Amino acid sequence: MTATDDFFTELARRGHEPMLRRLSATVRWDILDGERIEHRLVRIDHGDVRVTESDEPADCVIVAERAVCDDVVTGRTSALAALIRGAAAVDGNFELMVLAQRLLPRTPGASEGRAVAAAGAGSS
Amino acid sequence: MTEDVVRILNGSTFVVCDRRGDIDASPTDPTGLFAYDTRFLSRWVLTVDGERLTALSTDDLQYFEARFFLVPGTGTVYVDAKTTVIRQRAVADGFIEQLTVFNHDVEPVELTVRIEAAADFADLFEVKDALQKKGSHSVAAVAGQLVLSYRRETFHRSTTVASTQPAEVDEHGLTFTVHIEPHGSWSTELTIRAVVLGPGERPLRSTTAAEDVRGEMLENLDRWVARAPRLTCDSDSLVATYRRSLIDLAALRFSPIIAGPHSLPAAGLPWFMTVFGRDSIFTSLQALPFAPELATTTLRVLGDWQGNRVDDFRDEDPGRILHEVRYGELSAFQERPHTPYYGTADATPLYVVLMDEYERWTGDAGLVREYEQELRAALRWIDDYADLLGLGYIAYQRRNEETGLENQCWKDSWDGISYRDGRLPGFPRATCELQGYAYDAKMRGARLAREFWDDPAYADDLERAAADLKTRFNRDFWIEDGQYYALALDADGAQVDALSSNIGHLLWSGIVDVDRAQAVAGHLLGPRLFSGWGVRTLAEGETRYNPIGYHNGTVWPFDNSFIAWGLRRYGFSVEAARIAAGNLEAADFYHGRLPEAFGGYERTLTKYPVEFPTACSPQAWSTGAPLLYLRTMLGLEPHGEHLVVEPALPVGIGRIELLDIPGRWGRVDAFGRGMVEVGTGADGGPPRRPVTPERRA
Repeated sequence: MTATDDFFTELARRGHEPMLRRLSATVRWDILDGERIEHRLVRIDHGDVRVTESDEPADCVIVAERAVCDDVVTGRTSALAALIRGAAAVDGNFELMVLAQRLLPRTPGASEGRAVAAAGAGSS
Repeated sequence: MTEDVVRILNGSTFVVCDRRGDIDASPTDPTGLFAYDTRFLSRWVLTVDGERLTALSTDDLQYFEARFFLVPGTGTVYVDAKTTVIRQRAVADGFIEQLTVFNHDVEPVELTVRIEAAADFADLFEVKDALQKKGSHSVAAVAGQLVLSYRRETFHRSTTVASTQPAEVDEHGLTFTVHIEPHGSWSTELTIRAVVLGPGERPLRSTTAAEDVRGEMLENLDRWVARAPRLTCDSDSLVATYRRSLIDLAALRFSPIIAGPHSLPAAGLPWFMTVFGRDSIFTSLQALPFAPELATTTLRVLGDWQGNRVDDFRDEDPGRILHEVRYGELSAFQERPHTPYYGTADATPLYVVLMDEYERWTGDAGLVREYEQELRAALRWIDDYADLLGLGYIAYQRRNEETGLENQCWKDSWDGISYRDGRLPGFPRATCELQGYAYDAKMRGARLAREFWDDPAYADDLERAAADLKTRFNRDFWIEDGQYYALALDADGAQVDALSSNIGHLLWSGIVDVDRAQAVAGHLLGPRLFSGWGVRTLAEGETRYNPIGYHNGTVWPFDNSFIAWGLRRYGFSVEAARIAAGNLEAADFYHGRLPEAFGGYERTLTKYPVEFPTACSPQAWSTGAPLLYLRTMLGLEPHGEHLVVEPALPVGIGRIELLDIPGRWGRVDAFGRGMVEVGTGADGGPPRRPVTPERRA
């Protein structure tokens, strides 16, 4: 289990994100793990969130190595930094990539920038 | 040096070159082709038969294109001008250059035309600081194209150079062997593309077809000017300034990656062609009566990027509105925090202010409802994250001590906030204008909650909190013996007692008690702050006062435009007209383009406004200042579904008509005539006149 798995597990349990009440869309994460690709499809319906392991088409697809996903989830890097570093790619609607960051854990201390290790999220 | 440099741009892509069209940059020299905050060409030099050229003339055709008339040789006397060269260049996702060589002789000629090209891929921050690159460069000739690349781990940027005429391509450039008949010409089109490559060598953003770009941009500029209200006026200079402002504002539009085809105002040309929370909001406010669509995009983009987590590196908190976004290498590798950086204390309350003002003008209730959560989060930020002193005021102190911003208000230079005796306060600092913005945000937030979110209880809470803030502020910031508000509270909650232009913003926000407004207006138009051209950032007589001190005595048109708006809010229409007149007369000395700041020298002393040297021109919020002056002088104010017009214009303006002002009323016209005697020079205090009741405070 890595921080990314913990994140999606926790997200499925949370089920709702108030900061996304205005949004109905699908965002898919394609997590590259060596030769394997894991898919997580997140359906957002006025802030209600459902997570499935599906490779259905989505309004926005975010592709990145697992390590990069772990860094974004734990706050060691930002999604934008990963994107312009060429460590992640986005297909479809960019605005959704920005808004999808509101799904990330918000706990103070869990995301203190590059210097802080993955506190809060489970260790890998 | 500025006169020797030609700058053209399209959004965040821009070219800075010499008058020949050449780029020959040293590591610290700011010429080149820049895109995504990266220099994609650091060398672009044209030779004919091995000789550099000389410019006969250079025309900035539009903000996005320039034309260079050249002859071979670098001497001062053109003994043999049988060959001439025209380079015409338009910025797209890179640039397109039409290169034409003319033979004026009666004999045919054989010429070797060469373009030297190189790219150092410096980050904009590196150009300023001359840092060494950490990645590796490569050059390749691929299918008749020159491809310049830079890689550092997964970070990959590339510049491609292609020509419509066949060229010999080597790793330093392209060579053309050219035969031209008598009185004939030869031409090629060079296309330079700046590409950000993601995983699998895929471009981050799809590029536009090059040939369409120029036509589209021309059409777009015409549409932009045609859509804005039409100004006719006895004052030719005001008409010229207005037109200059509209065109400069068009140039300053910028489409961030997430905004699709929509644009918002970037901060300044060329180094600040990026999203800045504060600058984009202030400029959108200034432009509301003229181009309300800028505010729409600003509100959407800043709302989408609103802070979500506690991140010390980015000075990010939930609800906080960003300060600055950058796409360069240092940001990508988190050696700079701009992905995005949130270290500003004013953008968050100002975001709420802009949304309310936007709705009052446009009637776009949909956006107010759509961004309800963002607006609530912004209002929460004021109370939950910004109260660093525990006194119920917005204060700032960076958490990123290495690369974060120390001063998170608009006067952001190291010595921009001082006591009368020149000492600098410690951190956190609670500058006064931030409290005004917070008050205004709460009052306006209450209106939005009541009218659009069906939440009267929240509206009541906000109004109570605003009233409480106003009472405390008038107690804690008021300096009794000086009869003005302190510039800030320091880390101990004590007054930072310098007299500054910040008190003018307090009028704009409505936090000033009515019985104190006269004293504040008196200071703003008094001899210590008013120079005759405008209001100084810091009053004469303060220890750090310096007429050419960046935030310590210069006059900032943006600052003055909000002060004038504030004066009108409290009924001081004559005083507002004086400031507008002073600033607009100063604009004449700059061909209608107000600089970021000019010297605070007494007007009678210098006779002309001394420009403060800055790298960026035009600057968005200076460009917006004449627009806000028009609004203020005409007394344009939305009331329900109507636009109220209540002119108070300086006599020099004569008759004025502003036609087709867009808003929730459709389009309406405003007429006025200059009746206000404003005089010139700082003559020691404002004219005495009855104070009319404040409108919304």
